[in-house]
Amino acid sequence: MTTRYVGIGGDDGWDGLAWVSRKQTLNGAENTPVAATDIVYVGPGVYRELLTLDISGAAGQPITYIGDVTGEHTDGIGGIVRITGSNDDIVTARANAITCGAARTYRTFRGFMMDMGSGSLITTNGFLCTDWILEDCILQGMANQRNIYCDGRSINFIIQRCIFYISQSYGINFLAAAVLDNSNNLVQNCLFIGAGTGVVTARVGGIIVKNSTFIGRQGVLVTNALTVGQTVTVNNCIFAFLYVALTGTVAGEIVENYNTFWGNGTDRTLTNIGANSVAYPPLYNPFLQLSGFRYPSYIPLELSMWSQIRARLGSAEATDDIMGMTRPVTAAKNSWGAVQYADALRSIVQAHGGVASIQLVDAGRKQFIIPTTAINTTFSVYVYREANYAGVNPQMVIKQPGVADTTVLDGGAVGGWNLLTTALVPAALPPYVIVELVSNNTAVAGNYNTYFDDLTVS
Amino acid sequence: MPYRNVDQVMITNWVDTGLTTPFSRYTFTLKVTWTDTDGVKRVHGPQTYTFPNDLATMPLAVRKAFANQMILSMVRVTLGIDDWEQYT
Repeated sequence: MTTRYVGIGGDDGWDGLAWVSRKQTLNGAENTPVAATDIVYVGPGVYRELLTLDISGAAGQPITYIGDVTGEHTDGIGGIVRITGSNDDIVTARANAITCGAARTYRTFRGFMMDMGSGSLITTNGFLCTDWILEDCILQGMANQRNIYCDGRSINFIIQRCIFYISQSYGINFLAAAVLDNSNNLVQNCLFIGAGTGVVTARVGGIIVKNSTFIGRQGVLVTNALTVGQTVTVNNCIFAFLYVALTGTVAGEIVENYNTFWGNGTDRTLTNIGANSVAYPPLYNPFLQLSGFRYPSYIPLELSMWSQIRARLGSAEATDDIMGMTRPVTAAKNSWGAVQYADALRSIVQAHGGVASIQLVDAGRKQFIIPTTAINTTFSVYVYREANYAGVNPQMVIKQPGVADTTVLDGGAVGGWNLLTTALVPAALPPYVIVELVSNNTAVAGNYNTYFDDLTVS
Repeated sequence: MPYRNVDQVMITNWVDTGLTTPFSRYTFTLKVTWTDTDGVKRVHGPQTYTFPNDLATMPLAVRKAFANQMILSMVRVTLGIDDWEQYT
């Protein structure tokens, strides 16, 4: 495995094997050439180029491009890593952000924002590409252009934790000229927003869409019939405020269950009604509006405490959410849609010091960003779990991108305040750690709140 | 309180029954101001079009999709889910 670097201020004539000798462009790295198992860290900044994939990875040995949004591997600062089809942020100059000139397999892209291609932002360009992973990306599409166009009988694609701003076209389009069965393509934990359609298949069966949120024109659409018996499976999704949520070419093609439909012109066309689907409003969390103040915002399309799908049994639920946050182990405590609900409140029921504490009403996680330097640092917090709490005891997790988590488990008695503490030397970069307070409660009856108080860093 | 909602539409058995249905024809003048991929502002028309005659080149699947929308709109109004003002 070779680790390679791309960044602003680099030079494609350099070897790209260290940040100080980084390539200037993604194509510069690709043309080195990259090889199976390589990891390419791309520093924050704007890359005005069209990356053409020249090489395939191999099974278990993908070629991975990572947008280094924290800067820990590259510039030490962090920020958005953007690939754009424009030279001036006004008009388009290139067709795509990523394409290929032949079949490419086992490719992974993580952490990029892509925009302003006059064609599809990511395209397999009609070639038989397989085993791609596209994750943690934001794609802002152009008029009548697909955000991701898998038009060459694509199989084994995983598209997860992405946000799609869709023009009057498609977010993801799986297309085959002749029917393609059992494609094993997975779409999960994605947000689809805009005037187009979220996930579209033409003749490609065996697609799973789960834990995603759709808002805009259409949710999932089959434009050309699948082989009889092939399906698109849709679970744990939110379809709200759409023109049409689900459209098949014949009943039985889209198999939907454990989804909510709300405020749509039509919930389903040529699609059977899932026995466990509901018509509950998502009740998204608003941000606090007070003129003159900018309060910390909720994640877009996060559910509110009033939502009846914030904790509800689904089917084969995703184990994490759009932010990669681990979902509760109890299936019925998982949220439908892309964003896992986290019920953290200010409580005056329990307090270790003062009059209030942070209350996790059920299984969930609350994070705090703590600026740090690379010196020995002690993190402490008091925790209190109620009598009927069950499952793994509450935890304090010290997280830093690129560093293994440090987890401190509550080993104290139930019904009392217990101290969780650990000391460690954070990495120099990024210059912060995340303190994550965790309830792993699995109980469904009785009193199982978890309270945290007096978080100190010294 | 329950609300009116279209839970499911099963529109099937499309049969081509010929071209002889009486249907009012219209002509109208269309002007489109648009921008090409180079950012150049362009103008199409004013040009006279005829409805439905000029839909002849529209692919059958697309014509079918629009027909679905029109038929469904009529049914929604009939069911009291929508009123015609929403479509104008």
